[in-house]
Amino acid sequence: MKIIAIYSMKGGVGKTASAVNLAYLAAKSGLRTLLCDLDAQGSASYYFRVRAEGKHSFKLIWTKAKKFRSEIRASDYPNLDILPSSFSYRNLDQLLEKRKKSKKVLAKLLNSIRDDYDMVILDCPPNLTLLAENVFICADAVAVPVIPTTLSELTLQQLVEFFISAELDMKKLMPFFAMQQSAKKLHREVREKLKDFHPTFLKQSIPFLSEVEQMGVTREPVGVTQASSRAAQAYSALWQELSDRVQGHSS
Amino acid sequence: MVRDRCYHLGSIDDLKQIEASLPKPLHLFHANRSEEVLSYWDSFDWRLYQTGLLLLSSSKEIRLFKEKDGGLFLLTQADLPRASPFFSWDLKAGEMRQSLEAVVDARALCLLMKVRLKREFLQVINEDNKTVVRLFVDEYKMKKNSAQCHLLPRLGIETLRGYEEEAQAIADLLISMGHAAVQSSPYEEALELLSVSPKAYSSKVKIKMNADDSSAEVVRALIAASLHIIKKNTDGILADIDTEFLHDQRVAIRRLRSLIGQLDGVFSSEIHHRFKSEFGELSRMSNAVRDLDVWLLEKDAYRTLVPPVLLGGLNIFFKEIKSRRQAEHRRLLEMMQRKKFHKLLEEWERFCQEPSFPKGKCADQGIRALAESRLKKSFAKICKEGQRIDENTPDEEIHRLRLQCKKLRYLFEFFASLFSENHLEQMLAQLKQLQNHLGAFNDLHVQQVWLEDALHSIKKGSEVSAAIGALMGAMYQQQLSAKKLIFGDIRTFIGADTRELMKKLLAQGKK
Repeated sequence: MKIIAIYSMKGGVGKTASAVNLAYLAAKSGLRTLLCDLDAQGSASYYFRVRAEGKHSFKLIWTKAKKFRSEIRASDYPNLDILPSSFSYRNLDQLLEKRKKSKKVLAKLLNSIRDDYDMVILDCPPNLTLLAENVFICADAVAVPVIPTTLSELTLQQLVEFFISAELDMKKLMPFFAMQQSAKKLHREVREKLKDFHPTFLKQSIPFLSEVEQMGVTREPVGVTQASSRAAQAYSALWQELSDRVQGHSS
Repeated sequence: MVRDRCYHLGSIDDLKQIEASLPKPLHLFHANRSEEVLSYWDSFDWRLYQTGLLLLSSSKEIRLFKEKDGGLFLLTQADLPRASPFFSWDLKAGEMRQSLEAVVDARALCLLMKVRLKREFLQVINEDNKTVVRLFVDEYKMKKNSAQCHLLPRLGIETLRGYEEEAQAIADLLISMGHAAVQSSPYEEALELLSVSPKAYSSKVKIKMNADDSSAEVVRALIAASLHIIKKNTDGILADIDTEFLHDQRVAIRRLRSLIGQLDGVFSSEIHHRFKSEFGELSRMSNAVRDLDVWLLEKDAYRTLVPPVLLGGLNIFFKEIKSRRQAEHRRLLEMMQRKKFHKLLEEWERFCQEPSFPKGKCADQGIRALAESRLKKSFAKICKEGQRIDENTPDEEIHRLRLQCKKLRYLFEFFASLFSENHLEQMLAQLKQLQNHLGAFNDLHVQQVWLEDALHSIKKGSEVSAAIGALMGAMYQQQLSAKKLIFGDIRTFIGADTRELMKKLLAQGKK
């Protein structure tokens, strides 16, 4: 089972759209896939029309593997299941702090479903917290959508420094350009500058496309409603590159 | 899981009521439909059915399913062979071929029925427009004597992970509306509707009898059952569907001859005499075809016994055998289509039904007592002959031992219901080992004699004669090995343990 996290320190970079589309593509390729919505905003869950169980507190889900598993729901697409988030996830960090081996809680939970899935995609909240550390430690790849602007450069640098100080494996970090507008000179310049910045910067990128924005309305991955669109093709290529990298790594 | 079952609907219109009765806020969405003609396959003796398997084909593919609680679980699939009927060896090497081979062996898979399946997929949607349960409705139609008939429609539930409660709610709804969960697969239902029963054929005679039943009546029932098997296989032999129709028929004849031979005194001596002569002839009628069939069935195994350089000669030899087989089969057909053959079977059938018939001195004896005495006699003979066997024993004596063991086995099989199942199982297991090796030994002997014979009519020094020589050499070595194994087996069989077991088996008071 491989774990790919879609992570960004900034919001609004197309993180959830990427998580949703990549999870859909993974499932379509035949992999038994689980998309974990770790963001209290619950956008990924919204896309898939899945709600968390009202009755149970998220505490149980994050402490008992059995409860964790029982929260998983089948999506409307073959091979794809969703672990929905809820608003209570905003308190997740507090819960994690109280646990022993607080940075390996997620790893342990995901290990309990090792036999059920081939691929886990994690849709992460946009902050650098104990939860994020859990994600960085257990993921085989941390895919980071980056809008090619100057501020994004700075944010990416901060992330790299965090990885170094926390002694995390830099090979996992796989940034990629998202919401790219080639017409903008700034985007072209930053892209040129950054593409050789980090050895694992992905070659494929996602242009700024209205089809991706439309996802919030259709509530379907672009591969379903607009299979031959540029957006669908871009995500397909991104998935191909990402999955090749992840299968190549032995861990 | 109870949820993931199929439920019978009275008619397809019941769907409307179900839709209307869905607990709010769920509603039903009609998704796509599909339609296929599916063919159902099995061997004449229903081997797949007996193993809980189902073989279905659509236009291009065959699929093998395991049946459980009326549901079908896909095991494997493959391309549909062109031939019909077809054999496992007509398939490309792979999982399907392997699976079928293990179950049906040399039997042909015949098309038993065609079914038209109309399937509609449905989704139960919640207030978020999320699919929470997947459903399908199946309608099966078949032709019976050129009239259309159909099964009760089936509604299947597919539970989605995380929505187990919703699936259960649907199941509960169906049950509350009086729809019953299906108990058997649609194919079983279809077979029943078409009056085709998998239980109608068995290659073994299994009759339950009581210790005090009159011997003559029991034996007449056994003859009738055997005649039934003989008749049932005739059509398959005439149509030459596969080699096992003839084999089953011959085995039924052989067993019956052994029985009547060992149970002398049940009928008048004239009857026994007539039986011996008529069934003897019946049996010999098909000897040639069966011998040649066995050669052809084993040809792949024989190819491995001969050095590759001689395979050319061996192939020529087998070609010759094939054409001889076809000629002999034509002769057999001719004989089986004659009035004489049918008359013979009819007369013996009548013999079994007639209120009065020529009895022998044991006719009214209780069957248990008679069976016991014959079993004791048979076993004693084996022990006596078995004690004399050693490395110097001529082959003919080993063959006699083999025949003696067969006689014992057949008696056990016919009269199984009179004895303790447990003890009988143990005894037959012991016999089986010995018989397997005796059988192998005999086969090798017979084949070598056959080959020796063939050599006489073949040009000396030709590649065929070289191949035959190589084959004989390999078989001779195998025969020597088999002989060694037999010594071990016979020592065990006539030992104290088996004698003890035999005593227990025949002890009075059981059944």
